[in-house]
Amino acid sequence: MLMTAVQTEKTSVAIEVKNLKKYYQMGEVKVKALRGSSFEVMDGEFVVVLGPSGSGKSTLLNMIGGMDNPTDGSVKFYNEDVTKYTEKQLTQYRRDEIGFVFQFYNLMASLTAKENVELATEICSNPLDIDIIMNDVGLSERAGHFPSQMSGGEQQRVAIARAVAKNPKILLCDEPTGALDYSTGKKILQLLVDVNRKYKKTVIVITHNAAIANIANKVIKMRSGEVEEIIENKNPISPDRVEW
Amino acid sequence: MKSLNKRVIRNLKKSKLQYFAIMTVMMVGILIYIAMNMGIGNFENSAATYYEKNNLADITAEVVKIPINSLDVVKNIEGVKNVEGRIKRDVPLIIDGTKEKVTVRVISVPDDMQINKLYEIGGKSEFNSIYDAFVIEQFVEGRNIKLDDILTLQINGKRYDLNVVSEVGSPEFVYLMKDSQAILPDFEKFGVIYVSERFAKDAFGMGNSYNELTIDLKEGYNPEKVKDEIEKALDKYGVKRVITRKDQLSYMIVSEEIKGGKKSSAVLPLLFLIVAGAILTVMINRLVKNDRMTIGVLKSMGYTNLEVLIHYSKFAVFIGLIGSFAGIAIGVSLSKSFTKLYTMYYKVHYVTVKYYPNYLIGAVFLSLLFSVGAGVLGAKNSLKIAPAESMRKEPPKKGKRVLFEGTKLWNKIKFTDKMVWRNLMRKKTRVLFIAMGVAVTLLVVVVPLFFFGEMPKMFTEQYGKTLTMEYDINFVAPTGMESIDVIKDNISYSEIEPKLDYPFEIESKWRSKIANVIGMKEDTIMYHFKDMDGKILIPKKNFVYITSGLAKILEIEVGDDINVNNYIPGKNDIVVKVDGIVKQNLGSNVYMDIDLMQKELVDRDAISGVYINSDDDVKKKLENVYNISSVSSLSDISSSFKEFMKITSASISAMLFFGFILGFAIMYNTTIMTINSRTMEFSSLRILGMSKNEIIGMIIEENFIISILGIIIGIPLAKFSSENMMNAFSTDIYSFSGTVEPKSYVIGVVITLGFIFLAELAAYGKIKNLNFLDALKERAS
Repeated sequence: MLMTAVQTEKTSVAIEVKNLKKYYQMGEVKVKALRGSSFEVMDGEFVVVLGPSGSGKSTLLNMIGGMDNPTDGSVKFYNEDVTKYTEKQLTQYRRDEIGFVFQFYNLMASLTAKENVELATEICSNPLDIDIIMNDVGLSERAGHFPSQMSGGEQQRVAIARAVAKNPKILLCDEPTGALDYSTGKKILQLLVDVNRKYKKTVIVITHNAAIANIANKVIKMRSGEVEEIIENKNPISPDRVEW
Repeated sequence: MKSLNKRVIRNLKKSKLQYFAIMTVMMVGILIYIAMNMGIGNFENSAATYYEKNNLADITAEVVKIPINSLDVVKNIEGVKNVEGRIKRDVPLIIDGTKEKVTVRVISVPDDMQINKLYEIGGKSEFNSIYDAFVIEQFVEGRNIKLDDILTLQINGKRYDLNVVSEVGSPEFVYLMKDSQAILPDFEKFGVIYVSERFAKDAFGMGNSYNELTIDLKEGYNPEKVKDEIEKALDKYGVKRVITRKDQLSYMIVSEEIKGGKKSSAVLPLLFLIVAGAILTVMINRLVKNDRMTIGVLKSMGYTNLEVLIHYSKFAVFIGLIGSFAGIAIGVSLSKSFTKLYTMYYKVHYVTVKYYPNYLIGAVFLSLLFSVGAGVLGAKNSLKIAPAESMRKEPPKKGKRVLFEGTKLWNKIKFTDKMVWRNLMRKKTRVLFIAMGVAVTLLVVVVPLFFFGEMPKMFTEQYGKTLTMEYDINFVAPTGMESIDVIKDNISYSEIEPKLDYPFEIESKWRSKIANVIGMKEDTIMYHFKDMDGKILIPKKNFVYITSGLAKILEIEVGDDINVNNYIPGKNDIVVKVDGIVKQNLGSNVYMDIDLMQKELVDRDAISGVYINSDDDVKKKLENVYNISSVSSLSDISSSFKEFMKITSASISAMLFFGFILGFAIMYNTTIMTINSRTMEFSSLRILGMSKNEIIGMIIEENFIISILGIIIGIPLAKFSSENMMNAFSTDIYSFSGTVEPKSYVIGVVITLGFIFLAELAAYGKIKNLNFLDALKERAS
């Protein structure tokens, strides 16, 4: 039987976002990406951040992942204010606590699947066994292949393995199915749910695909840089049943 | 191996030709550094060993005559360790059946020779008969002399047959030239023969006297100070000149060669390393820009800025180290050949080939300095990339209008040309950077062309414009004016002029130097003097001119008084005023009115030779005139100069090859970088319907414009470098003073463009196979 997201007991808050604002300059244009968003993500939750393009989802993810500093507001990670971290602390935070999965996988073309995973584990303090992870993502047979020899789905599996192998507390996934076809996308979602269940990782997926929201414990709807609605989903469905 | 290191190696492999080109430039820089420094170092050491083992004289004193038992006057001077006397004289070698004039310097060998000891190459080590002779190796080679050959000398009107019993080398004649007036050695026409003291005394009628002393000093004594004492002590023996080792002709030429080599070995490698460093910087910079997303991913994984910087610097360091090791390996083996070539050309024995760890460490240090520098400079932008920012698409550059935009001309040019010009104007730093590379290539090509062109000019300026005599005839020893009549009786001539050529010490303030003073007629038609501005100087009565090189060394200006220190017995030192500085590139002399020179310095009526203009068969007709030591014609000098130019052309070819490597590396890498960084743009153009050839055409056009800019920068740069190198390489014997001819620039530009064309051709193959459309789908880096 396929797994659904963890039925979380509200034990502790993994991420607390408070009045988060981010304005930045892009070329000649000033972008107000986040205009004061607030929400909480509980430990072990599977969260989907849903919103159309330009709603500030990716910016939000970057703030949570310590990739960027907000203009205002705070992001707390297990009660520690990440926005007050120094550059060095942020790097360490990304190294040990966060795993990123990107829409376009962003693998190193000249490294094999396994080496791409090793790239992440070589620098973190408590990595998981790579071979087990590769097996879990269904790629033990393809470990020696280069990205150019793999399908999009396989590449995204490598990217997930890379993020998970670091043994982070939180997995941040930016449109992980955005570049994949329907069936492969569903498989990737299942893999993320499996990771959430098996490895007890808090998973935050951002997407513009409303159908995906059904697999989450919590859905944070965003529009124009603001949180429009937060929906608690008591009965997340299996990705297998998602249709779009 | 760490994954990031694997990435470095695999990415280097992927762009192997690009990196190989830079690696080659780096390698050539290190190769030159090692080969030249070690080669010259070994040559210097070998020469020093030769001088030391064979005890090259610290001081040599020429006198009219000094009795054997008077050597103590020198030996007793403080600082003198040992003194040996010898008889030395230049005499004609008689070659029956030919009109050849060959001069040999006959030098007597003391019984237990301790100074200027001979190096035995083959044959006997002692004289068994007074007619036995040792012959110097260069002369043996030049005339193909064999052991047991008979050499016939004409001494004081008599013929002497000497039996060649040994071939020898001498530390005194490592570079064999008759005197400093000879611009090039001629081993066929001048040689040295060592004879027994008994033979020399009898043949030259020297009795129990010598006419030259070789002096060995105790350690720690300043030769210049001891020299002054020796001059005083030898005054009554008719001291002609006393020279310290540093002014000894062969030693001086070798020292100048070493000095010049050291200068080149300091400048040339730097030039290559700077270019390699610059290209590497641009490449790494471009790589970092292309890897914007990758850097973001690395940072998202928790890689620190420093780790990312080190990762990208490794590309440069890897290339630097490979280039360095390859350069060291080739350089070390070349340095052996270099040393051998030097020691063979200069006849230095006791060749010691050593590997100097300091140069090996220096090579690694230099390559690391330039590669790490290039890596850090090129990759420093990776520090600036904020992780989140790198995940976003790079915002389009601000679209400014370029300089000519909106003008009528602008509106008339093609769309693709507009793109080319916009791109060039918006990336000024990059354009300037590449243009500088082209400029350096042009410099590397033009400088040797300049020197190659300058040498024949210097030659024709001196032999043809300044000196216009067809024959230069030297007597065995200074003689009276009546010798001219003997010559006049033997040949028909259009012009004949006496000359008096004698070495004196020229002193100005605290500086002094031994130079040949040449006396000539006030109304000479054989010499055409020009001053430094190229204006003709017309000699007046009692004129005194000094050549530019000597004037520079002694810091003499027109109107200055100079002392001419005279060692000839019964003659005094004189003070004369310099009437003009003569522009002369070959040799250092003082020119003087012959009447003044005869009256004040030598003897009334004394002459040392004549200059002749004649259509007659001068050589043949004068071959039986006994007191003539040499007859050199302009064509003789010209042919030996051509031989010399042949040797020089080899080094020019090497420089051109280096220029090719530079030009190729710069343009090939530039083109490939352009393609790699603009695949998206080119792909879009392909979608819009542009053909591959049209895109390639745009790249070539861009590179061509940059090349032209590089050439415009390169021309003054080449001029500046040539002029500076001209000063750096000028010596006592020759000095460069020309300007780069337009022809050299034209040839240089054509060659540089040729190199660039070849690089474009190599890049063309790579561009042809590129699938621009794939780039649009590319998501991995």
